[in-house]
Formats: sequence, C-alpha cells, structure tokens
Amino acid sequence: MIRVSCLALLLIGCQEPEPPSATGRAYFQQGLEHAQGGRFHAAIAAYKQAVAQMPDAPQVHYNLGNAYFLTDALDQAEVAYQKAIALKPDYADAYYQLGAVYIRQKKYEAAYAPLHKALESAPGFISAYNALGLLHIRQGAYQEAADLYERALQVDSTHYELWYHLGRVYVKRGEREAAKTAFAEAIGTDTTQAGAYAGLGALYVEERRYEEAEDLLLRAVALSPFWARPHYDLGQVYMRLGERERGREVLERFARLEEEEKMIKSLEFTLLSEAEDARRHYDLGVLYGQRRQFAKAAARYRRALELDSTFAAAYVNLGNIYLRGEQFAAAQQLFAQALAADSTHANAYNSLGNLHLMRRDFAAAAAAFASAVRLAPDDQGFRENLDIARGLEAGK
Amino acid sequence: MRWVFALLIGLWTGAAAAQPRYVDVAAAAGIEFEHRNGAEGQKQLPETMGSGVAFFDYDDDGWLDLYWVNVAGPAALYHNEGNGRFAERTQAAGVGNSGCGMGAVAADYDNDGDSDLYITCYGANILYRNGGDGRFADVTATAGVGDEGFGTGAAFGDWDLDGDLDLYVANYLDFRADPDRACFRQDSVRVYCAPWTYAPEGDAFYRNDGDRFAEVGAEMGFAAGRARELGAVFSDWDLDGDLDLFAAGDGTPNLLYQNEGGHFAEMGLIAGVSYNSQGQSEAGMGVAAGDYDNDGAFDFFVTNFYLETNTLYHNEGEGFFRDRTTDAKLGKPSLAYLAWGTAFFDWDLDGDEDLFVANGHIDDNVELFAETTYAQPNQLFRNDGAAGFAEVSAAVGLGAVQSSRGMALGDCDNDGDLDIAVSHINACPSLLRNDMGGERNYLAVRTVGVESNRDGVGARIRVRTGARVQMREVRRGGSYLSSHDPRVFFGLGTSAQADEVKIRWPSGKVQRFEGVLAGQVLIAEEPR
Repeated sequence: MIRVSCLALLLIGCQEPEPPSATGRAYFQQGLEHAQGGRFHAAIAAYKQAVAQMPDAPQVHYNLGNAYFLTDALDQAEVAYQKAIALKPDYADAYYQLGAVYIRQKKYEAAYAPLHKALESAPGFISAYNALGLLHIRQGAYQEAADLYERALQVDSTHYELWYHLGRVYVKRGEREAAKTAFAEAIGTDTTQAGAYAGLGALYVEERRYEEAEDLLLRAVALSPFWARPHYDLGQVYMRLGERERGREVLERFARLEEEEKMIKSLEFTLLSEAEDARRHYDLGVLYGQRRQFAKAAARYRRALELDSTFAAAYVNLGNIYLRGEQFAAAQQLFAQALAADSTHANAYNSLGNLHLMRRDFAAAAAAFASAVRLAPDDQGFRENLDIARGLEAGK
Repeated sequence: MRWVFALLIGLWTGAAAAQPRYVDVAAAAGIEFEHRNGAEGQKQLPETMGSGVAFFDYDDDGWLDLYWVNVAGPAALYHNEGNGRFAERTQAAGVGNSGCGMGAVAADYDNDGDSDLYITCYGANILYRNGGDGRFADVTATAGVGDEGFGTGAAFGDWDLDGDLDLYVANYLDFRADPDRACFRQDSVRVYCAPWTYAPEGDAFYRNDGDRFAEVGAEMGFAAGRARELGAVFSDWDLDGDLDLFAAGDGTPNLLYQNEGGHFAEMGLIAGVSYNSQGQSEAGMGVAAGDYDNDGAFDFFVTNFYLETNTLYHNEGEGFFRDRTTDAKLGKPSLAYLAWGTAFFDWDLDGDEDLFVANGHIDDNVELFAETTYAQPNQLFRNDGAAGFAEVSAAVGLGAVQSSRGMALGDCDNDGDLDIAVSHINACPSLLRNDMGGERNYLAVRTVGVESNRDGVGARIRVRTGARVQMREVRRGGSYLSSHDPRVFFGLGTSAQADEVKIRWPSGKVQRFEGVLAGQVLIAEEPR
C-alpha cells in the first residue's frame, strides 16, 4: 500500500477522525475545528479536554501533539506523540511526527529511530522515506540516503520529492549523470515544482551549458520567484554569458532573497526558545507576507495577537490578508480592532480605505484615507490613495 | 642578479620515521603558555573566539619564534633556542599585553629589516614595533592603528604598490550594543548568543604613509558593516599585479575586494565566492589561499560551522570562482566539525598543497543540546594530485581533541617540512612537529624586497620541476587570526633541484633562478 502523509506544517487536513467516545467527541471536534481555522492554542485547550475524557485514545494524543507542534511547543508535542505511540505501538504517523519533532529540535540522531519505526509500521510511508533521506543528507550519509530513495522509488516511482532528493544526493556524491537523470525524472512527474529545474540547471552551469541552464533556471524562478537558489545560478549564467548588467540584477535579487531566507530561519529558530515574543511572530509574519506565503503569515499574526491583543500592526496585516481574499467583514473587524488598540495607526486607516475602495464605497474610502493622511502627512502613498478615492467619488 | 643560499641542517628531529607523522612537542619544547578565555558563566560571545598564533623570527637568528595571543591572560612570546626548546621572553621583549587579544600578524611594516607585530583585540588593537634589539615598543598611538572595534583577522599587504605595507583589520560584530543578552537552548540551557543576533561592525583599512597610517577604508570602497568578518587574506587572485583582499563572513557573504588601482570593488557575489554552491552564506571563520591544483590561479578555502561544509572556491579564471567542495571530496568530512584555522601547504612535500583545518565547537556545553562535542579533532587532508583530497588525520597522529581556534604554519626546526602551531581555548597549545624524515625534498624561498616592500609581500613565486609548476605568494596574515612562517615552502618530491624559480615582485620586476638545489632556503633579494 502506498501511503503518503502530509508534512507537519500542513497537518490541518490530516487530523485523525473522531475518537470513539461520546463524551470527548465534542472537545475533539472543537479541537479539529480550531486547528482547521489555524487557532492552534484554542485547539490545544480543546484537545486537552478531550484527552482528559479519553486518555486511552491514541488519536487524541496525536492530534494534541500536532497542535503543539504547530505552535512550536516541541517538548509538549514530543510527550503527546510518545503517549500516542504507547497506546498504539504501530502508529506510523505518530512515529513520523515524533521524528519531525527531533529534527526541528536538531536532535538528528534521535530522529532516526522513530522514522525507521514509521517505515516498519507502514512500509509504503513515502513521507517517512523522505524525512529519513533528508536526515541522511544533513548528516552527510549520502550513500544511505541514495539507498533509501531508491528503495522508496520502488514503492512509488511517480513521486516528485523522491526523484528530486535523489538528484540532490547524487550531486552531493559528485555523480552528475545520475543526478541529471533523477532531476529529469522529477520534472517528468511534476512540472510545477521549481526544485528539479533548479537542480538540473545548476548541473548545466557546471558543464558550462549556459543557454540550456538559463532555460531551466528561468522556469525555476518563474515557479518559485522567492526562492533564492535558482537566482544565484541564473545570475552566474548571465555573468558567464557576458550579460553583466542582467547578471548583476539577478544576483542582487538573489542576495536580497537569501538574506530574507536567513532572517526567516533565524526567527523560526529563535521562536523555538522565545515562543512568547509577539514581535518576533509579527516580524516572521511580515517576511512570510513579503514572499506571498499568506497562510503562514496569517498564522504568525494570529499568534502575535494571542500574545499581545494591543498589537495594532498585527491586526492591520492580518486584516490585509483577509482583504486579499475579499473577506471584507473579517478584514473590517480587524482594522477596527487595530484602531481600538491604537487610534493613531495611520496604516489601519489606509487599509480601511482600501477595503472601502474595493467595496466601491468611495466616500467612506476617502474619509479613511483622509484620516491616514492626517496622521502621516508625509506618506505619499496615502495621499495618492486619497486622490484616487476623491476622484472616484467625484466621478460617481 | 643576486642570490644567497642559506643551507640548513635539521637539528631537531633525529626521528627518521618512514610514515610522516605529527608529534605534539609543545610541552617538551618548554611552551607553558595557557590560553584563557575569561568565561565566568555569563556566556559572552567574545569568550568563544579563542585566539591566534604567529610564527615569526623576531630576532632574525634564523629560527622561528612563536607568539601566542590570549584573551583573558597575558600573551606569550617564545624564543626558539634552535635546539628543540623555546624560552619565554614575553616581558623581556615587552609584548605581554593582556587585553582581550584575538589575532596576531607579523610583518616588517617599517621596512627596517625586522618583523613587527600587530595584535587585534576585542577593544583597541596594538602595534608593536621591533626595535631590532630583542625589544618591542608599543607604537599604536603614533602609528594611528588602534582601531577599537571587535578586531579579528588582520593582514598586511602593499595594495598601492608604493613599497610599504598597508594593513587591513577585519572587525566582527557589535557585541557592545547588547553584551548582557541571554540566550538559551531547550528553554533552560544557557548558550552563547548566535552571531547573527548582532550587527556587523565596520572594518579598518590603513594606508601606510611612512611615519604613520591613515584609515582610508571608506574612500577605498570598503563599505562599513557589510559582513561579520573573521579571517582575511591578501592575494592577487586575478593575477593583475596588485593585491586583492578576501575576507570570510560569519553568517554574512564572504567578501572579495578587487583592487582596481586606487580603489577596491567588492566582487564576491559576482565572482562566486560569497556563497556556497547552494547559494547560501555560511559561517565563514578562517581563510586559506593557494593554488591547490597547480593550475596557475589562486583558489580560496573557507572554514565553516558544524553541519556546514567547509567550502573550496576554485578559481576558474576570467574573474569567476566555483564551489568545488564536493568534487574535491572536502564536503562530507567537514560536516561534523566546527572549523577555524586553516592553511594550504605541502605537508608531504610531494609537489601539491594539502590542507589543515583546526576544529572545535563554540559552546562548551554543546553536548547538552546537540550531537557533537566541544573538543574536536583537527584534520589534515592530503592532496591526491587530481584536484581531490583524502583525510589522513588519524594516520598522521592528529587524534587528540581540543577546542582549537588559530593555527599557523612554520618550519620551526628548519628541517624543510612545515610544523603547525595550534591555539586551543582554555588549554595549553599544540606545536605539531612534522616528522617527514627527509624522504622528500623541499625548497624554501625568503624574499627580501628592495624597491618593493622589505618582506616582499605580494611577490608571486613559481617553481618548476619537470612539467610541474607550483605557485605561491608571499603573504602576511590568513588562517584564523594567525600568521604563518614568512618563508614560502615548496615540496619537490624526489627532485634534487627546482629547474626554475621565477619571482614576480610587487614592483613588477621578474627574477629567475635556474637549477636551484633542493634542501635550502633561497634568500631572494629583489634585483635593483
């Protein structure tokens, strides 16, 4: 049986179904609903109630572990997964998640055992193969990683990630031809993923086949415009083709993206030990937002607001994400909360103006932009918005 | 053309081991220096840095002396007695500073024929001028080189080709902005805060104006606060006759300043040395420059953090480098270690440059939260002659583990092979004597500039034996906070002579020697 589990960060849709206890069912259901809405702390509270009602239900512990995991409470997640495993010794998903906890805690050696157990319990568990392979790569055990991916491909030869990471392993081992084949296979299984294009492009750069590399790297950049790596190789290609200005532009973009990636990693890591720092959650949300990862950004803003209900900028940014999705009522409520927290927050008025503009309520939009301009008279963007709203209002 | 041979006899070893090995002779040689980092439990980042070491012949008696930098105790100068023993002369020489020392680089900045000493510190740096009588004078203030940043790597080089040595001082980060910050792992384990939590600090670039130095970084194109710099080395990587500068960035891109004659342009990103092949900036610590594949171009090697590879940047010509770490088989062996001091050198005198790496983790309690250790073994990689390396650490006796930092190369027993001085945190240092046993031949070159700077820094030396051409450069500074033997060493394998030695001086003059016998230090004075 082929089994594909979702990664921990995408766990919302992967919660286990209801436990067999009428009393705990309501709490469990509440937990599921909170988790699906991205309200993981509320989910934790509900799952804990469910656990109290049904201490012997492994899936409740598992779901509680997932909610902890998603709030970076890794020690608690570990305990929850271990309880789930104690109750259900062949619980592959719990083993897998336990491995994920150890990886995030950088306890790499400790992660091997649960991931192997996950595979023992579910031999077709592709995600477990993948995680184990990545672990081997991180530790420099390239032969083991290659063996593992090759084994996994016997289970499912149409899995993009397996081919892609196998290609990476071959690159690490200096086996370029095999790497090219693996990347090509990966592209064959999924043409919408940037990684294999980038990998193959990088190999062509090595071989000085710059035109072919350019084509592949451009695809990678188009598919994943905020991923630094293909920009680096693409910039190198242009430099070597003598297109220095173009190369410089791409490389400068690469440097900005790389810096962002580094800041994201740094913040994610810091938040493992400083999980109650609302500002850092907000900063991370901003970075995710810049990279158009709006779901992740929204989760960080929500967490920032759980920690600091007066964080006006977080309300505004979260509201803007809702606004992008044309969820006007939710956005309006958040902008109102921002202004309740800080009545001088010019950007809250500006965002409110945008909302009214999208609703074609030009008078209300003009009034909101005017408030923004009054609070921040030097902001050219606010002024331009005000002019647009007034123009639309006048021409109505 | 004038050339002087100094024939040397190995006085120390007596050990004609068939298997080349390193033996730690520090204690037996009388080196009692002990490094102290001053840690008192507050986990202040400067405590993690360790210190450097310098090999130099301060009294010009033909035997390399040693200077050990210290953080929380006095530095130490050891005079090489020429009989296998070192005698401590710190106080007599007047170089026993005790102020948070980081690095040391020795060079004859005033062209008076003896080696002076520059010390980088967490705080004001120090310049000691060698009086030529066994004593040094602190001339920092009059020379104007007392930069007060978080000084790390320093390198001397005559970038403006005016015949005297200028000075680059890398600064690390702005620790003073928040010295009391507390950082934890696993909620309760107090650790040193990561460098990326501090802003980079601007560097100092000093032009030697004869009687004093002028800081000209900004006008020369060195942007302030671009990187958290550690190791720095001057090298004419583009072979255009003037010295460029390469500096490792810790969590920031490595920097490659190309000398454009009167101005430097940062070219690291474009040239391909700022990031590894994955497009990631790494935790650059130490740097080495060398032509490891004997293709006539200088390559760079940067040591990095635990679970990062050290990175080999191969000079591809035409202004570009490529990360060849994997091809050279240097990636996997470095993943498990946190690396610092490093150098290319021909350990086994077979005609190509091998590689040494000093290792040690920053956190003395790392065992509590990661699967590694504070003390780590150092590594030697043998060049396989086909652009690859194989680790031979254990086979050559490098099994001991310490938390090492700075390392410098030098032939302190004058037997023609290169010994290694390694500084360890909170421990006595190692002096690793290379017991090659004289099975292979060597040639060393000591450059004496006349029109060029007196040390001949920046001179490019090519040695041809048969079809093999090796290229080296005279440098001052490099590795991690350290300073190597001022002489330049070549392995000649079984050849009894070098067919040709060709020196391109910083002045542009080219000097040739033919049929140079092996087993000597060729003292090459620049043609007038």
